[in-house]
Amino acid sequence: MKKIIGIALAIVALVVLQLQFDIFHLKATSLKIDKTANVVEEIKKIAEFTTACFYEEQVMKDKRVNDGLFAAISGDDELVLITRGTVRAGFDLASVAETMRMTGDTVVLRLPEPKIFDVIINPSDYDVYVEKGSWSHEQTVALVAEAQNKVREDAIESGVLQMATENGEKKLRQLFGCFGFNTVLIER
Amino acid sequence: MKKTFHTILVAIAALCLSSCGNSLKDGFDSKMHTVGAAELGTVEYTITKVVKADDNADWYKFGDRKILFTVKATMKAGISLDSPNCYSAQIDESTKSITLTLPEPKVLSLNMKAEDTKLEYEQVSITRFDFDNMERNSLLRQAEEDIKNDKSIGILKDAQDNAEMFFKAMLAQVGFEKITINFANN
Repeated sequence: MKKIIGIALAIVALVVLQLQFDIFHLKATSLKIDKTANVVEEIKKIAEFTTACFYEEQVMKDKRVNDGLFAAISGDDELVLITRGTVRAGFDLASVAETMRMTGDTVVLRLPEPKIFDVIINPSDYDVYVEKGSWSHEQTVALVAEAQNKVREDAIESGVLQMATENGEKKLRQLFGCFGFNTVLIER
Repeated sequence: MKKTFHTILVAIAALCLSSCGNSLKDGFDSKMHTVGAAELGTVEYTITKVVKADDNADWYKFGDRKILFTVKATMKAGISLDSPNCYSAQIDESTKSITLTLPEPKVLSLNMKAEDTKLEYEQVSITRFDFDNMERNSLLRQAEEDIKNDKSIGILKDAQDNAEMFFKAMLAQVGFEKITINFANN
Protein backbone atom coordinates (compact mmCIF):
# COMPACT_ATOMS: atom_id res chain seq x y z
CA MET A 1 0.00 0.00 0.00
CA LYS A 2 2.84 2.35 1.00
CA LYS A 3 4.57 1.60 -2.29
CA ILE A 4 1.45 2.47 -4.31
CA ILE A 5 1.02 5.77 -2.44
CA GLY A 6 4.70 6.54 -3.09
CA ILE A 7 4.32 5.86 -6.79
CA ALA A 8 1.10 7.91 -6.97
CA LEU A 9 2.89 10.81 -5.29
CA ALA A 10 5.75 10.54 -7.77
CA ILE A 11 3.30 10.74 -10.68
CA VAL A 12 1.59 13.77 -9.13
CA ALA A 13 5.02 15.39 -8.67
CA LEU A 14 5.81 14.77 -12.35
CA VAL A 15 2.55 16.36 -13.45
CA VAL A 16 3.10 19.38 -11.16
CA LEU A 17 6.64 19.77 -12.52
CA GLN A 18 5.31 19.71 -16.07
CA LEU A 19 2.64 22.30 -15.20
CA GLN A 20 5.19 24.54 -13.48
CA PHE A 21 7.43 24.38 -16.50
CA ASP A 22 4.54 25.46 -18.70
CA ILE A 23 3.56 28.31 -16.35
CA PHE A 24 7.17 29.56 -16.04
CA HIS A 25 7.62 29.21 -19.75
CA LEU A 26 4.51 31.25 -20.53
CA LYS A 27 5.60 33.83 -17.99
CA ALA A 28 9.08 33.96 -19.46
CA THR A 29 7.83 34.77 -22.98
CA SER A 30 6.36 37.93 -21.47
CA LEU A 31 9.76 38.82 -20.04
CA LYS A 32 10.60 42.47 -20.76
CA ILE A 33 13.95 43.83 -21.88
CA ASP A 34 15.60 46.61 -19.88
CA LYS A 35 15.59 50.11 -21.32
CA THR A 36 18.87 50.69 -23.18
CA ALA A 37 20.03 53.29 -25.68
CA ASN A 38 19.79 52.88 -29.44
CA VAL A 39 23.18 54.07 -30.65
CA VAL A 40 23.55 55.45 -34.17
CA GLU A 41 26.95 54.22 -35.33
CA GLU A 42 26.93 55.31 -38.94
CA ILE A 43 24.87 57.57 -41.19
CA LYS A 44 25.09 57.01 -44.93
CA LYS A 45 23.59 59.08 -47.71
CA ILE A 46 21.96 56.79 -50.27
CA ALA A 47 19.78 57.03 -53.39
CA GLU A 48 18.17 53.59 -53.57
CA PHE A 49 15.11 53.49 -55.76
CA THR A 50 13.25 50.35 -54.66
CA THR A 51 10.92 49.30 -57.44
CA ALA A 52 9.98 45.70 -56.58
CA CYS A 53 9.50 43.70 -53.39
CA PHE A 54 9.38 39.93 -53.07
CA TYR A 55 7.77 38.20 -50.09
CA GLU A 56 8.09 34.56 -49.13
CA GLU A 57 6.90 32.47 -46.22
CA GLN A 58 8.78 29.24 -45.67
CA VAL A 59 9.33 26.46 -43.17
CA MET A 60 12.91 25.83 -42.09
CA LYS A 61 13.83 22.63 -40.24
CA ASP A 62 16.89 21.32 -38.47
CA LYS A 63 17.16 17.88 -36.90
CA ARG A 64 19.60 16.11 -34.57
CA VAL A 65 19.56 12.34 -34.17
CA ASN A 66 19.76 11.20 -30.54
CA ASP A 67 21.29 7.93 -29.37
CA GLY A 68 20.50 5.70 -26.40
CA LEU A 69 17.46 4.62 -24.43
CA PHE A 70 16.21 8.17 -23.82
CA ALA A 71 16.20 8.77 -27.57
CA ALA A 72 13.90 5.78 -28.06
CA ILE A 73 11.31 7.46 -25.82
CA SER A 74 11.74 11.13 -26.70
CA GLY A 75 12.74 10.88 -30.39
CA ASP A 76 15.15 13.18 -32.22
CA ASP A 77 15.76 16.83 -31.46
CA GLU A 78 14.00 19.15 -33.86
CA LEU A 79 13.88 22.88 -34.56
CA VAL A 80 11.20 24.19 -36.91
CA LEU A 81 10.92 27.88 -37.80
CA ILE A 82 8.29 29.62 -39.89
CA THR A 83 9.99 32.55 -41.61
CA ARG A 84 8.61 35.47 -43.59
CA GLY A 85 11.26 37.06 -45.77
CA THR A 86 11.22 40.31 -47.76
CA VAL A 87 13.55 41.12 -50.65
CA ARG A 88 13.79 44.73 -51.85
CA ALA A 89 15.21 45.38 -55.31
CA GLY A 90 15.66 48.36 -57.60
CA PHE A 91 18.15 50.88 -58.95
CA ASP A 92 20.96 52.73 -57.27
CA LEU A 93 20.40 56.29 -58.50
CA ALA A 94 23.44 57.79 -56.74
CA SER A 95 25.20 58.70 -59.96
CA VAL A 96 22.24 59.07 -62.31
CA ALA A 97 21.97 62.85 -62.00
CA GLU A 98 25.53 63.30 -63.32
CA THR A 99 24.88 61.25 -66.47
CA MET A 100 21.49 62.72 -67.47
CA ARG A 101 21.21 64.56 -70.78
CA MET A 102 18.38 66.65 -72.19
CA THR A 103 17.38 68.15 -75.51
CA GLY A 104 14.11 70.06 -75.73
CA ASP A 105 11.39 67.96 -74.15
CA THR A 106 13.47 64.76 -74.21
CA VAL A 107 15.57 63.49 -71.33
CA VAL A 108 18.00 60.59 -71.50
CA LEU A 109 18.64 58.61 -68.32
CA ARG A 110 21.47 56.12 -67.95
CA LEU A 111 20.42 53.51 -65.42
CA PRO A 112 22.71 50.98 -63.76
CA GLU A 113 21.77 47.29 -63.58
CA PRO A 114 19.01 46.58 -61.05
CA LYS A 115 20.15 45.01 -57.81
CA ILE A 116 18.91 43.51 -54.57
CA PHE A 117 19.21 46.06 -51.77
CA ASP A 118 17.98 44.06 -48.80
CA VAL A 119 16.97 40.57 -47.75
CA ILE A 120 15.04 41.00 -44.53
CA ILE A 121 14.08 38.41 -41.93
CA ASN A 122 13.82 40.33 -38.66
CA PRO A 123 13.12 38.64 -35.30
CA SER A 124 9.44 39.53 -35.76
CA ASP A 125 9.53 37.76 -39.13
CA TYR A 126 10.04 34.28 -37.75
CA ASP A 127 8.20 32.07 -35.28
CA VAL A 128 9.66 29.13 -33.41
CA TYR A 129 7.07 26.48 -34.25
CA VAL A 130 8.78 23.42 -32.73
CA GLU A 131 11.80 23.30 -30.46
CA LYS A 132 12.51 19.79 -29.24
CA GLY A 133 15.77 19.45 -27.37
CA SER A 134 18.19 22.23 -26.64
CA TRP A 135 19.11 24.53 -29.54
CA SER A 136 21.64 27.30 -29.11
CA HIS A 137 21.16 30.86 -30.37
CA GLU A 138 23.93 30.29 -32.92
CA GLN A 139 22.13 27.25 -34.34
CA THR A 140 18.95 29.28 -34.77
CA VAL A 141 20.93 32.11 -36.38
CA ALA A 142 22.37 29.58 -38.86
CA LEU A 143 18.86 28.36 -39.75
CA VAL A 144 17.56 31.92 -40.25
CA ALA A 145 20.63 32.73 -42.38
CA GLU A 146 19.81 29.67 -44.49
CA ALA A 147 16.26 31.01 -44.90
CA GLN A 148 17.71 34.37 -45.99
CA ASN A 149 19.82 32.73 -48.69
CA LYS A 150 16.84 30.71 -49.90
CA VAL A 151 14.53 33.72 -50.10
CA ARG A 152 17.19 35.65 -52.06
CA GLU A 153 17.57 32.75 -54.53
CA ASP A 154 13.80 32.34 -54.87
CA ALA A 155 13.39 36.09 -55.45
CA ILE A 156 15.92 36.05 -58.29
CA GLU A 157 14.39 32.88 -59.75
CA SER A 158 10.90 34.33 -59.67
CA GLY A 159 12.05 37.41 -61.58
CA VAL A 160 12.24 40.16 -58.98
CA LEU A 161 15.00 41.95 -60.93
CA GLN A 162 12.95 41.80 -64.12
CA MET A 163 9.98 43.31 -62.33
CA ALA A 164 12.24 45.93 -60.71
CA THR A 165 13.46 46.94 -64.18
CA GLU A 166 10.02 47.18 -65.78
CA ASN A 167 8.38 48.93 -62.86
CA GLY A 168 11.38 51.23 -62.28
CA GLU A 169 11.38 52.44 -65.88
CA LYS A 170 7.63 53.04 -65.72
CA LYS A 171 7.89 55.04 -62.49
CA LEU A 172 10.81 57.14 -63.78
CA ARG A 173 8.86 57.96 -66.97
CA GLN A 174 5.94 59.11 -64.79
CA LEU A 175 8.26 61.20 -62.61
CA PHE A 176 10.03 62.94 -65.49
CA GLY A 177 6.69 63.39 -67.27
CA CYS A 178 5.66 65.40 -64.23
CA PHE A 179 8.80 67.58 -64.71
CA GLY A 180 7.57 68.48 -68.21
CA PHE A 181 9.43 65.96 -70.38
CA ASN A 182 7.32 64.32 -73.06
CA THR A 183 9.96 61.73 -73.98
CA VAL A 184 12.03 59.82 -71.46
CA LEU A 185 14.71 57.61 -72.99
CA ILE A 186 16.34 55.04 -70.76
CA GLU A 187 19.66 53.49 -71.64
CA ARG A 188 22.12 51.18 -69.92
CA MET B 1 2.13 -5.38 -8.24
CA LYS B 2 2.28 -6.19 -11.96
CA LYS B 3 -0.91 -4.18 -12.49
CA THR B 4 0.56 -1.17 -10.67
CA PHE B 5 3.70 -1.38 -12.77
CA HIS B 6 1.61 -1.35 -15.97
CA THR B 7 -0.38 1.63 -14.70
CA ILE B 8 2.85 3.55 -14.05
CA LEU B 9 4.15 2.72 -17.54
CA VAL B 10 0.92 3.93 -19.14
CA ALA B 11 1.05 7.15 -17.09
CA ILE B 12 4.65 7.86 -18.09
CA ALA B 13 3.88 7.12 -21.75
CA ALA B 14 0.92 9.50 -21.59
CA LEU B 15 3.13 12.23 -20.12
CA CYS B 16 5.75 11.76 -22.83
CA LEU B 17 3.17 11.76 -25.62
CA SER B 18 1.54 14.93 -24.29
CA SER B 19 4.73 16.85 -25.10
CA CYS B 20 5.04 15.46 -28.63
CA GLY B 21 1.93 17.06 -30.07
CA ASN B 22 3.66 19.67 -32.27
CA SER B 23 4.42 18.31 -35.67
CA LEU B 24 4.25 20.21 -38.92
CA LYS B 25 3.11 18.55 -42.10
CA ASP B 26 6.03 17.94 -44.41
CA GLY B 27 4.04 19.16 -47.37
CA PHE B 28 4.03 22.85 -46.34
CA ASP B 29 4.33 24.91 -49.51
CA SER B 30 6.30 28.10 -49.35
CA LYS B 31 4.10 31.04 -50.30
CA MET B 32 5.64 33.79 -52.38
CA HIS B 33 4.63 36.84 -54.34
CA THR B 34 6.25 39.87 -55.95
CA VAL B 35 4.81 43.37 -56.01
CA GLY B 36 5.89 46.60 -57.63
CA ALA B 37 7.04 49.50 -55.48
CA ALA B 38 8.46 52.99 -55.90
CA GLU B 39 10.34 54.21 -52.86
CA LEU B 40 13.41 56.38 -52.90
CA GLY B 41 15.61 55.64 -49.89
CA THR B 42 17.82 58.63 -49.15
CA VAL B 43 19.48 57.77 -45.85
CA GLU B 44 20.70 54.65 -44.07
CA TYR B 45 21.39 54.49 -40.34
CA THR B 46 23.38 51.73 -38.69
CA ILE B 47 22.10 51.32 -35.15
CA THR B 48 23.49 49.20 -32.35
CA LYS B 49 21.85 48.24 -29.08
CA VAL B 50 22.54 46.22 -25.97
CA VAL B 51 19.56 43.98 -25.21
CA LYS B 52 19.40 42.67 -21.66
CA ALA B 53 16.84 41.04 -19.44
CA ASP B 54 16.88 39.82 -15.87
CA ASP B 55 14.30 37.17 -15.01
CA ASN B 56 14.18 37.20 -11.22
CA ALA B 57 11.34 39.53 -10.45
CA ASP B 58 8.66 37.07 -9.25
CA TRP B 59 8.55 35.73 -5.67
CA TYR B 60 7.85 32.13 -6.69
CA LYS B 61 10.98 31.81 -8.80
CA PHE B 62 13.98 30.32 -7.09
CA GLY B 63 17.20 31.50 -8.63
CA ASP B 64 17.50 33.93 -11.50
CA ARG B 65 18.29 34.06 -15.18
CA LYS B 66 20.14 36.79 -17.01
CA ILE B 67 20.71 37.23 -20.72
CA LEU B 68 22.53 39.85 -22.78
CA PHE B 69 22.71 40.33 -26.53
CA THR B 70 24.32 42.96 -28.71
CA VAL B 71 22.40 43.71 -31.90
CA LYS B 72 23.04 45.75 -35.03
CA ALA B 73 20.35 46.92 -37.43
CA THR B 74 20.18 49.08 -40.53
CA MET B 75 17.27 51.44 -40.97
CA LYS B 76 16.49 53.16 -44.25
CA ALA B 77 14.22 56.15 -44.72
CA GLY B 78 13.08 58.13 -47.71
CA ILE B 79 10.01 59.03 -49.73
CA SER B 80 7.36 57.20 -51.69
CA LEU B 81 7.15 57.96 -55.41
CA ASP B 82 4.47 55.41 -56.10
CA SER B 83 2.20 57.53 -58.25
CA PRO B 84 1.95 61.13 -59.46
CA ASN B 85 -0.65 61.56 -56.69
CA CYS B 86 2.27 61.39 -54.24
CA TYR B 87 4.12 64.36 -55.74
CA SER B 88 3.36 67.40 -57.84
CA ALA B 89 5.37 69.97 -59.78
CA GLN B 90 4.62 73.52 -60.86
CA ILE B 91 6.79 74.66 -63.73
CA ASP B 92 7.41 78.14 -65.14
CA GLU B 93 9.32 77.66 -68.36
CA SER B 94 9.95 81.37 -68.92
CA THR B 95 12.01 81.64 -65.71
CA LYS B 96 13.18 77.99 -65.78
CA SER B 97 11.79 77.53 -62.32
CA ILE B 98 10.14 74.51 -60.71
CA THR B 99 8.39 73.96 -57.39
CA LEU B 100 8.28 70.28 -56.49
CA THR B 101 6.13 69.03 -53.64
CA LEU B 102 7.18 65.63 -52.31
CA PRO B 103 5.45 63.38 -49.77
CA GLU B 104 6.42 63.25 -46.12
CA PRO B 105 9.54 61.13 -45.53
CA LYS B 106 9.05 57.81 -43.74
CA VAL B 107 10.99 54.78 -42.54
CA LEU B 108 11.15 52.36 -45.46
CA SER B 109 12.86 49.36 -43.92
CA LEU B 110 14.55 47.96 -40.85
CA ASN B 111 16.94 45.07 -41.25
CA MET B 112 18.15 43.26 -38.14
CA LYS B 113 20.04 40.33 -39.60
CA ALA B 114 20.09 37.17 -37.52
CA GLU B 115 23.89 37.04 -37.70
CA ASP B 116 24.04 40.56 -36.25
CA THR B 117 22.28 39.44 -33.05
CA LYS B 118 25.05 38.15 -30.83
CA LEU B 119 24.44 36.35 -27.57
CA GLU B 120 27.17 37.78 -25.33
CA TYR B 121 26.20 36.48 -21.90
CA GLU B 122 23.73 34.01 -20.42
CA GLN B 123 23.51 32.91 -16.79
CA VAL B 124 20.90 30.49 -15.48
CA SER B 125 20.61 29.21 -11.90
CA ILE B 126 20.50 25.45 -11.39
CA THR B 127 16.86 25.68 -10.27
CA ARG B 128 15.74 27.34 -13.50
CA PHE B 129 15.26 26.22 -17.08
CA ASP B 130 17.55 27.55 -19.80
CA PHE B 131 16.33 30.27 -22.12
CA ASP B 132 14.84 28.63 -25.19
CA ASN B 133 14.57 30.05 -28.69
CA MET B 134 11.02 31.30 -28.23
CA GLU B 135 12.12 33.40 -25.26
CA ARG B 136 15.25 34.68 -27.00
CA ASN B 137 13.14 35.59 -30.05
CA SER B 138 10.63 37.40 -27.84
CA LEU B 139 13.45 39.55 -26.38
CA LEU B 140 14.91 40.31 -29.81
CA ARG B 141 11.46 41.28 -31.11
CA GLN B 142 11.19 43.82 -28.31
CA ALA B 143 14.58 45.26 -29.30
CA GLU B 144 13.46 45.47 -32.93
CA GLU B 145 10.26 47.26 -31.91
CA ASP B 146 12.22 49.64 -29.66
CA ILE B 147 14.54 50.64 -32.52
CA LYS B 148 11.63 50.97 -34.96
CA ASN B 149 9.69 53.28 -32.65
CA ASP B 150 12.62 55.44 -31.51
CA LYS B 151 11.66 58.92 -32.69
CA SER B 152 14.74 60.51 -31.10
CA ILE B 153 17.25 59.22 -33.65
CA GLY B 154 16.30 61.82 -36.25
CA ILE B 155 16.39 59.71 -39.38
CA LEU B 156 13.37 61.43 -40.98
CA LYS B 157 15.02 64.86 -40.92
CA ASP B 158 18.08 63.42 -42.67
CA ALA B 159 15.86 61.61 -45.16
CA GLN B 160 14.13 64.89 -46.01
CA ASP B 161 17.39 66.85 -46.35
CA ASN B 162 18.94 64.20 -48.59
CA ALA B 163 15.80 63.93 -50.75
CA GLU B 164 15.90 67.69 -51.24
CA MET B 165 19.58 67.56 -52.27
CA PHE B 166 18.96 64.64 -54.61
CA PHE B 167 16.11 66.34 -56.49
CA LYS B 168 17.88 69.70 -56.62
CA ALA B 169 20.92 68.07 -58.27
CA MET B 170 18.72 66.13 -60.68
CA LEU B 171 16.55 69.10 -61.69
CA ALA B 172 19.56 71.38 -62.08
CA GLN B 173 21.07 68.81 -64.44
CA VAL B 174 17.98 68.92 -66.68
CA GLY B 175 18.05 72.69 -66.97
CA PHE B 176 16.02 74.21 -64.13
CA GLU B 177 17.65 77.27 -62.62
CA LYS B 178 15.32 78.08 -59.75
CA ILE B 179 14.34 74.98 -57.80
CA THR B 180 12.09 74.86 -54.74
CA ILE B 181 11.41 71.60 -52.96
CA ASN B 182 8.53 71.34 -50.51
CA PHE B 183 7.37 68.42 -48.42
CA ALA B 184 3.77 67.53 -47.72
CA ASN B 185 4.32 67.72 -43.95
CA ASN B 186 5.67 71.28 -43.99
